[in-house]
Amino acid sequence: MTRLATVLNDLRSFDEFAARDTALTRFDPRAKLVATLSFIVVVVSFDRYSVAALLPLALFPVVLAAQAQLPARLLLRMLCLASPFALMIGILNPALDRAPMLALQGVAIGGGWVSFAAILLRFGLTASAALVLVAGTGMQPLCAALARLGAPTVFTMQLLFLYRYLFVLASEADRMSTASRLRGAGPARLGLAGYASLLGHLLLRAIGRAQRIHGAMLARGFDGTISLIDTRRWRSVDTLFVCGWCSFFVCARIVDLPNVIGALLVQATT
Amino acid sequence: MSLPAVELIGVSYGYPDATPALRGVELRIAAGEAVAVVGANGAGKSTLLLHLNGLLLPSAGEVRICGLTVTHKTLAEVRRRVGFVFQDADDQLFMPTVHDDVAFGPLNQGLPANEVQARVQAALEAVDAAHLAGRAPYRLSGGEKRAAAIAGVLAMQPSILVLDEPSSGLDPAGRRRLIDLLRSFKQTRVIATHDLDLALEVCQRVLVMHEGEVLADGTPAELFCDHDLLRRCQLEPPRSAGRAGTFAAMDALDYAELAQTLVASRQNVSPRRLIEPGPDAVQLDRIFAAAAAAPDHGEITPWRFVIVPADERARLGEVVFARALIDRDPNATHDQIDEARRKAQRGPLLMLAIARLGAADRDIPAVERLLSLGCAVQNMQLVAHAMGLGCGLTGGQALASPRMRELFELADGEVPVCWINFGTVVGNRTGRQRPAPGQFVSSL
Repeated sequence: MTRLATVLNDLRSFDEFAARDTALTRFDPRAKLVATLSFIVVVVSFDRYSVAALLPLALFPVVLAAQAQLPARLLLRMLCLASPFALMIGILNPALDRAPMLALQGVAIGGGWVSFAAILLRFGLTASAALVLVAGTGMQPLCAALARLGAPTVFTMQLLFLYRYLFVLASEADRMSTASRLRGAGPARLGLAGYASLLGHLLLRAIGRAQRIHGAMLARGFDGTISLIDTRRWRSVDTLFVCGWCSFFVCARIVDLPNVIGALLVQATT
Repeated sequence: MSLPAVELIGVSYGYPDATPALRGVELRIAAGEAVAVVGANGAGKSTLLLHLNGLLLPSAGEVRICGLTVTHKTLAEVRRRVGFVFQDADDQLFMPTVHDDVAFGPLNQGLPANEVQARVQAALEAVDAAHLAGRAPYRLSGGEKRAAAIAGVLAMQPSILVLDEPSSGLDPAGRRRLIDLLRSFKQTRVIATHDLDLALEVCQRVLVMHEGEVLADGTPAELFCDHDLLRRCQLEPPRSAGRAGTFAAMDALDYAELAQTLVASRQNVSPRRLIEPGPDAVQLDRIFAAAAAAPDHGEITPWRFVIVPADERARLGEVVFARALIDRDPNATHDQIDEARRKAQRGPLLMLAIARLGAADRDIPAVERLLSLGCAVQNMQLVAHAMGLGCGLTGGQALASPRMRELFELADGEVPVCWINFGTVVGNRTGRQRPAPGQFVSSL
């Protein structure tokens, strides 16, 4: 299987988790959305050098992933796919900010390294929470939830199309890559010009495919909005879900939980 | 006079690169008609279809759907009436699950949730895909995707179904299921296809397109036997065209005489000789000669006999056996079907179909066309059910077919049915009684 095919397969597996009946999928999408958005706001509100203080917040994606029965390996693979963006953002920090901030075993650690670690940690927390949200809800119900919470239709539609065309693009890329490999043009032999041509064709094919899909949608009465059957009702357990997690986030933001726990442990041992 | 379901008046269309795709197409399709649009690649079939629900608007001329001119203003109504099944099912299935995808159209129609659910369920059941409701479209096989795509259109309850190359990419079993499905629909059907065998089985009318024009318009039996026309349009005659040709040629025969001949032949020609190698031209001449000396069988003149020559018989046998096997066991493997076909070529299959000429309003050409399709069991059922005609068919495993039994149940008390093994009656009506030799004509 090509790397692209593996990615496509991962994407599809990920997408299918939403169709399962799990503890997470049973919650109202709006509850999960509000909790996750609150989580992201809290995570990004920490200052650039906070690392230890962020650690307790990992509880949220971990618990949700367990509720969604999402395999850790699949989640990690998806995180790795997006990780280059986070790496690119923080990679220069160690070089630009060399002022010592910590000393570990006598080795001075610069502020840049700490902020780099904080960026990676924040990325890991927010991205994993978002991924678990999609896997435990599904993009369609998620967009419906966004719409019900008042998000503009144009935004939810764009999000839906973006998600849909992600699969189209990956599928086209996989076909082209396979065709190229079968004719002996491996990555090493394709060359820059070959890759440029491949990308150009990929774009044209994806546009053609997108037009056909759009035509098929028009043929079935699409008028700019995708309607969904959403018979789910807000239950008290959804309120509990949101309130419980938001309380935890506020607590983790106000109280330095690692310090408190550390102090308690030290006190207990002495 | 009722409005035609589809009407094209001088429709022309050119693509942005100035390629003329349609040139002054004139066309009328009546409600309930099944029309095949055939032609080589680039002949304009798909372009024509895309005009039927306003995905393309003509550069010149007018397209009317049930009397409604297709314009930007009428698009919503036109698309409600015309269901379009795309060539590539992957282009049509874009929602996360089959259920969501089938619900897409009805939801766009603004129907309430309970009505949408009912339509989704009904559409999926119509294509035998209810079990796929929760599946992701990209996990389906080609045949399942096609079924889901058709369900998505059926759920909108259109009065006209437009299908672009519906059998492309399907395996033989999937193609067979599709053909059965298309034949079961009552809506007006417009099918663009390269699969002329499908056109022959499903459609009463064929439009042959060539370079953006409708070059010929007629019945499959007429057009598919016109080898010059097919060659000119870069088409090949369907495999079953020989059967259509055989039956077209039968029109020239005096059926009353032929019937008498066949009855007479029971005494003069060994059934085995008729079965194997079958009545060739010389034998038929002998039969005719024998008939000349035979006593007058006045009461059999209302019957129309159709003979299938030996070379066609083997192919018909294949169809009957394969169908019978599939009817009995939907999960039959290709190997099993092939084995059944091999048996069919060896076995003494009846290749005589008999249809009763009835009231003047009965559609005899349609009966001939159906019969010409190789005595496929469901054709017989269709004939008997729709036209009140008695039809006979027998042979090996075909007798075990549930569809065959269904036919006899249907026919019992209403339509006379007789199984004949080339001169030997093997059963009548529901098959519970075995009439005496010589009784088969009078008993009907």
